[in-house]
Amino acid sequence: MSVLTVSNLAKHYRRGGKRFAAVDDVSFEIGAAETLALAGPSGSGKSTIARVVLRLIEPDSGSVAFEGGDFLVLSGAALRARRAKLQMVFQDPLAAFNPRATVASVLDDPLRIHSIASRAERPRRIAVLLERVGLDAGLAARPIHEISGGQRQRVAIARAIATRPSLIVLDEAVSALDVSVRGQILELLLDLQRQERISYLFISHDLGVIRAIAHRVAILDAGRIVESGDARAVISDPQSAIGKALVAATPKLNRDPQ
Amino acid sequence: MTALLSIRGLRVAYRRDGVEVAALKGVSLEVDAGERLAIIGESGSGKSTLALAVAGLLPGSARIAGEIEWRLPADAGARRQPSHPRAPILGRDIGFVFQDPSSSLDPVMSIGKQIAEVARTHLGLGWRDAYARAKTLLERVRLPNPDATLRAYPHQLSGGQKQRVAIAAAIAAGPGLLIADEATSALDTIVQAEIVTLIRQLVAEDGMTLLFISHDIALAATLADRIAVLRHGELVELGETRQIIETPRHAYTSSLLDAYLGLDAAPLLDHQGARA
Repeated sequence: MSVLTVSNLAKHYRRGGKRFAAVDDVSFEIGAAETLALAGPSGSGKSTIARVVLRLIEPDSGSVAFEGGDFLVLSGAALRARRAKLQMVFQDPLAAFNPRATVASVLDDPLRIHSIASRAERPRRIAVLLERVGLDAGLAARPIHEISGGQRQRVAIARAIATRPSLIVLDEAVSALDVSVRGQILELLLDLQRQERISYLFISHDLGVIRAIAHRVAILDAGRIVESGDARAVISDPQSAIGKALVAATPKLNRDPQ
Repeated sequence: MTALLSIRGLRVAYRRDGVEVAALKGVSLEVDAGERLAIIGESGSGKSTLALAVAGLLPGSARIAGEIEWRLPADAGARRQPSHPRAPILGRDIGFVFQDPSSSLDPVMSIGKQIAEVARTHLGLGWRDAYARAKTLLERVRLPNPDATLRAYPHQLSGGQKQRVAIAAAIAAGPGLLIADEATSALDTIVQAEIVTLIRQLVAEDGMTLLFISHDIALAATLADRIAVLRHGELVELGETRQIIETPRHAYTSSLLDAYLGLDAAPLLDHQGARA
């Protein structure tokens, strides 16, 4: 059974008095422990879809079913309860945290808000979460702005998995990281997926990263899915004009000496 | 090849929370006239500090040691002797393109005026000639409808269009050196490729020297004749692009190449793995 089913989603915006479609009749499914990547140029609708799935904005029409239930009709306490199962990690972890927070307080919030652990139990749970994402438990007391970008993104992932979600939306989550750190974060995400059967909606403009981590890819252009399928198959032989343009624009390292 | 500039033992340190942090720890390299040199490195490598040092844009609080020696061609018509080197002027001798065009363009000044101002300041043109030059530059950076764009304001343009305007302003006075500091990093892959193509073309047409600062070794390789790899403020390796990519001498360069996820890299994901 699919974890997330998005059907006929549409969202319009007004710009300069003109109505244009940011998302236009988009449908897709994500299975358990599966990664679906959304790829496309700026303005193709990737992040708008993510925001609708997260209920940060409301669509004009269409439906979102999460673990079999209509996710768009939920509100109040029912929505807050379901949100524990649907988490997110964004591009810039510093912007996603209260700048005065410590690592411990960032991880304490979801455990407290979703009543996952008692006050007495929380320090131990925080240590376990830090260890789970490959960080030293001693980092807990450090202010969030003092740790490195890679460590911060690990904390963001720890916060996301604190509530044992079934789906995490990753919006350009590795785009701002140095390449050496990026590989480690991708390995961590794969490891978590295998062990906890988490599904990912992975949004990126980088086909190299998508090819490395995603099972399937949907390529967006002007709010519509123009092609989708097995990530490696689509990227090795794109059929749509925008898919071809994305592949052509990706820098290639021809490393083999003549 | 003659060197346009020689950097010798360049050290730069910033003060942060009362502590001195070394950004460059004694970097020496020569930039040849007419070459395309990429400076690559991860965050904290000192690549942007190097670019700012060359452009004379380091903050006043930075501590600088070492030297940057310029060998600028004498101005045509100038009475200065070629043996008497002059100091470079930003805008006139050096064009600088930053990562974020939204913060390098003035939001309340028309596009035409921002470009014309550079030509007026450094070439001594009147406004009419400076605007004519601005229009020619907008055509050269392939912005559609140059007449309308001259009168437009930055917020009316997309990120890629704004970066084209920033490039037009950077080359408006015909500088010998163009510095692009992560100039395509905020753009999506397709627009990035278009801007790289534009830079390659403009550099070739004007015979400019290019300093291309990037975190992306594969992108740098598509543009550069030589690549310099920086790490923690030190120059790790400098060589011809093909040598750096095919036979890197330093383990750090190899690790950067291995970490690059191209379209031919082995996927991390075993397709049988997670879903089975």
